[in-house]
Amino acid sequence: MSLFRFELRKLLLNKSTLFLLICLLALYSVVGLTSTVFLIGGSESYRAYEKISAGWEGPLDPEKAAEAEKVYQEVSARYGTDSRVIARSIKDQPEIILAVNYHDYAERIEEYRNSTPPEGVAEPKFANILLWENLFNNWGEHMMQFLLFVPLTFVIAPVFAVERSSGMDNLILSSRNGRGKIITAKLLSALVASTVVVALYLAATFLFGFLPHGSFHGWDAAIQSIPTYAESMFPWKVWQLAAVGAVWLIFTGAVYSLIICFVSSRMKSQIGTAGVSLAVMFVNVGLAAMGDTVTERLGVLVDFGLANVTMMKEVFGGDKVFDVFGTGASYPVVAVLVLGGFAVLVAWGIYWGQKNRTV
Amino acid sequence: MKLQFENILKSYKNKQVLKGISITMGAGVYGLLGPNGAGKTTLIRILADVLRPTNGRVLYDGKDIRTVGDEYRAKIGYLPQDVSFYGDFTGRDYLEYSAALKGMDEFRAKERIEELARSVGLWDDLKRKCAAYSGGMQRRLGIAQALLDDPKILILDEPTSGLDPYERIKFRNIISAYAKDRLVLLSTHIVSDVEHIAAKIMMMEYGNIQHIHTSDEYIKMMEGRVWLTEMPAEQLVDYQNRAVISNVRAKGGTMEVRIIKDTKPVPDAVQTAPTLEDAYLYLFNYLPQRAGR
Repeated sequence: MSLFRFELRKLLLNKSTLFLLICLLALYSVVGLTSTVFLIGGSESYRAYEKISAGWEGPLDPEKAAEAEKVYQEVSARYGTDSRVIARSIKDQPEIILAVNYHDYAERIEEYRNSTPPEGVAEPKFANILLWENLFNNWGEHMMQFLLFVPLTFVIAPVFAVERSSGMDNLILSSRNGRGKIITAKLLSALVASTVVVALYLAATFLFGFLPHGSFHGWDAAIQSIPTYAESMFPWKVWQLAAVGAVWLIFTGAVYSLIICFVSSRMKSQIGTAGVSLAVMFVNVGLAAMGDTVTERLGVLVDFGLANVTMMKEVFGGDKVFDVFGTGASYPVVAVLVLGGFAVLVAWGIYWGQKNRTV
Repeated sequence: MKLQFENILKSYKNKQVLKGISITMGAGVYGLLGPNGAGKTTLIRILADVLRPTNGRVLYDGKDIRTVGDEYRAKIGYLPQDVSFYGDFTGRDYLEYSAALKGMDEFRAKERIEELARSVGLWDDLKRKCAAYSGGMQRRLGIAQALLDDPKILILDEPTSGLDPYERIKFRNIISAYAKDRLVLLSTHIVSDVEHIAAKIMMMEYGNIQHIHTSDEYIKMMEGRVWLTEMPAEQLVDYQNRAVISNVRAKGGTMEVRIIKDTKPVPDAVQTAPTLEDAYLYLFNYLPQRAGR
């Protein structure tokens, strides 16, 4: 059996990790299910929403906008202006949900018309993207960082630290492949493990986000129809954003896993590795959550810190352009370059460290 | 094949564990004897390339082992003092993993695992979890691991701890048969492990190799220094604090005492044939005691 298969078994294909994965699958399924159930009442409510919204889809209709504004004023008079409170209060009333959503859409269009939109991005049309919006919230909010990256930390943490804590270092470091090939095997197995965990999250939140209502309606709408992506510079359809978002989360999960691998290669215990890795993650989250004056000062540290780059709404939801040697490059392109470079550096550090490691 | 320690020095903070060791070894079995804390394991680890000396080099056929790198490690088989396992690995998994670490191809690895498992008496237990093995079985598994890739240099640190007398003898036979054209370095504080199989025995103390001789040379050195006498048990209690006693045997109402000393310890003492164990006690207990160390 090759070293990679052994390393994969040690990290992923063992009883305790498989049990953890089953628990995570259950947790992620519940997250997908509850988020969609609380979004709108039962399946019938959604069907009703889908039916009535079909007549509202398309470019902004001033008459409909006025009608929606009237309903919104009544709703906000009753429940206040907090969108989450409104959403919870009207979740069983599809007509009102539609009116509130159309009101928000009309506001976005006004903003769009008063700004200079990115080249190639047309004026958004109203579409029923309710379930997709929910999916992108699941994939791009801070909650995801807790649900995904905390368990991922514990899955990857043993990758190198286990050799020290188990005493297998002696055997590994004295063997022909113990200072080179084993690193490749370990890094590959960490990347596979990270992909599996992220894929579990993506698949469960996707499946259980759509399953209760049995609809993928809105899959071909422009992403600018989704409030969070209204200012996005990318002329993509919703399904394209979902595909790119999934790949992005797998990619950023892999980069975070490499960081955990690096920490693990320097630590003696798995718990210590998990602690340091989580600290790295939460320091990034903390920095990103600072006020505008602080984040502006920190600049690229926040832009390319783990907190921001792992959130697809930050990367794909805006129109940030960075100056790279005099050429304008979009946020995701620069993020790929920065994270890619960082990953190479981290991998080199691990190889170099193992070459010089002693018991 | 030549392995050279060139002025090997190892320090941890302010403590010097190895104090400039320079020796040359060729093919054959070398025993490394010494009391606990002498620096044996540190020296072994440097040779196994899992520890780097603070100063000095280890040369394999004239080349620094750090420069030779993977190719040097491909030639060694190493049994560390503490054999460790992954909790969910079976004996076979452990050996297959070791084979993968050594870069062996699967077919050869399978053949060697079968051969070695039979030779160390673990064939019927290969499917059991290593964690469920007894101490002796774990040691035997470690020995099989060290021999897996037919190494040119075999480094064994306390290989027989935990083995019963039969297993110990069996181990010695395996090593004797194996040692032809190879270098075996066997570190232990159990004298009988090396007495009959080591071509050269290195006595190590305080971070230095103090003596390198054959077993016969050590025994010859002890001629006239091992004495037998009889004394009552009450006298022995007091006497053993002042002398190095290598053995005591109850004989009727008195005790037959084997004493290590340069001169006749008591008037009725008679000389007896020395052993390697006597030499060990002489070098590590009698001489330091006499020197007031």
